[in-house]
Amino acid sequence: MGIKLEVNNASFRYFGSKADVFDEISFSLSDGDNLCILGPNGCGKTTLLKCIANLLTITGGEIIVDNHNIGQMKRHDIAKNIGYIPQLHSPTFPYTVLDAVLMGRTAYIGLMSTPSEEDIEICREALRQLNIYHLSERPYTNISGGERQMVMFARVLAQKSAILLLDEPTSHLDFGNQNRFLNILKQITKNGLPSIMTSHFPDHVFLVANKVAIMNNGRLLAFGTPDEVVTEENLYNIYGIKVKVLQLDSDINRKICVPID
Amino acid sequence: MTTQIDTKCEDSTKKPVSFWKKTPTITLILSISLILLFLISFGLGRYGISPAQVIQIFLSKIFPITPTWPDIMETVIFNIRLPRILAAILIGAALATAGTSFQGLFRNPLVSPQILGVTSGAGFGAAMAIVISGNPAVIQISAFGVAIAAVATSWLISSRVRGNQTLTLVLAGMAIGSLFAALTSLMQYMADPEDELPEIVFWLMGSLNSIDMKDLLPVAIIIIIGITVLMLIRWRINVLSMGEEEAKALGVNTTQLRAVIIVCASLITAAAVSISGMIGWVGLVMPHIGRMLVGPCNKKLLPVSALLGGIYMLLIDNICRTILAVEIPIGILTAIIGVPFFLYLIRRGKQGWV
Repeated sequence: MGIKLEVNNASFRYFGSKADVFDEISFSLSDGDNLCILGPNGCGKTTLLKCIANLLTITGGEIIVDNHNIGQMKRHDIAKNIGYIPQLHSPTFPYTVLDAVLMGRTAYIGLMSTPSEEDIEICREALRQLNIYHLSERPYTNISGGERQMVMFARVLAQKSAILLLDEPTSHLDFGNQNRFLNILKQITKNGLPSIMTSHFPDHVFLVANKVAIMNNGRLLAFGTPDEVVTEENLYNIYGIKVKVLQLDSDINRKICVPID
Repeated sequence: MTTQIDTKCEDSTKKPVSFWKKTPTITLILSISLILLFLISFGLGRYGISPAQVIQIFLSKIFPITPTWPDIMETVIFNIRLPRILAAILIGAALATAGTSFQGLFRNPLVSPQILGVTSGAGFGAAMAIVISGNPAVIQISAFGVAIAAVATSWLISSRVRGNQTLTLVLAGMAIGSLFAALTSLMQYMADPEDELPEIVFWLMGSLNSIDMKDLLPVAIIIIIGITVLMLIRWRINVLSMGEEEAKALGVNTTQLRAVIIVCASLITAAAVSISGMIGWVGLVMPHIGRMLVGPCNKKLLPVSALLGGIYMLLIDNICRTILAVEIPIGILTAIIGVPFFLYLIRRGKQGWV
């Protein structure tokens, strides 16, 4: 298992601000890993993901991708290594779903060229993989939130990056689509593509993740396997409510979290 | 458990697109229309020339045809009408291309080429030159120079500010635009009401009258280079329109791309208005009509917008110079004819921001 991403003692603060958004963050990610970051609102999860995608530049420490320091890489090289789905996407022009997914190929398309037949085929394949091929020609502004999230997912798959970053990928999805989405993500992770996602639901950890990080006030409070980290004590510490972590019986064989006050 | 996200809509890939709605067909029809309009335009005006004669006179430049027409006909075609017709096409294409590019860059379909203060700058530059010098060449250079200075100032201000660059750029552009509009008024107030004031007013209304090849050449070079660059990077404008952060994550050097778009779009707008005067509307509306025809993808949209801009300006300029005994300023007609047509299109428009 090769290490795909290393974050060493990273910290970040906004220009002119006196306090770090996060600091002393260290972890690594290998093939087949799904890391789920839990933490209360405003703990710095999104900022951390943006720093890993180099959308914000860390103010301390280093982030190593593919043996390169991310601060010294060109945009299109970063995009070939790191795919990122933002938490919120505000659509503008009604591009067709296929045109929107094609934007995932930007890093492979020259400054003065347009997508090739091969790029289009890669995007069609991504759409087929996610079962939304039939939406190809529809305006992506005119489909449901769940469908649009799948379009964003198809776009990041077409990007063929070595790592996926997903910022609360399930936040706009209904109950059923949340679980379907996580199942697809699990399959893709199993096929070898490592990913980091943030979530507000500890249950999601037991559904997909093999690693969990708990963030609070800009620090990593705990890091490890779901069983080690998602404990009643840790959940109380970050969310301030009492939670029971229960083991479901043998035919489901998974833990769930139930708030009790 | 199923791994498919619920989708409630019909299969859109099975609907065949009709021949008349395909982008190559539309582009071809527009190109042919432009060529036909180009040829017809030579015959229009107080000195009537039939299309057949126009074609004969053009061919006589390449093939040895014995002239059966008076010399004055050639003079009218090559010295008076040709520069004006070329100017109309170039200016229309420039404004429409700049408008489409800016709308993509600023992710907003309400944006027009004057968003960064270009036209206000040009207006002031021209007014100042009319008051100080009155020489047509000086007026043109001054209009172009101040227009570029206005954009550069907007850009400089926004680059000093941290945070949302696009938003600060628009705000700075609005501020600079208002400043130059006020300075133009100041020039009008100071101008001699006998001759300078009317000249400023007419310049601001826009006209393609009295353009000759000498004025047109530098402008044409700038416009052709600017449009070519924007056409080459047009697919990337799509990616940029997804927002700065997403564009970066997708692998775009946003700072560089934004700079290229702003420089090219501003240059061609400044070049266009420096010879035509203030012409609104074209740069705002042609992109919308283009989107109604071929959709929002800039790969198809930018060429179609440019063609539409050229056709529209040429059509309007033809009306300006033929409908009345005196010329009508083109800036007036672009809106008076364009607005009802546009409102009609909106009424039967397809969806959202078309």
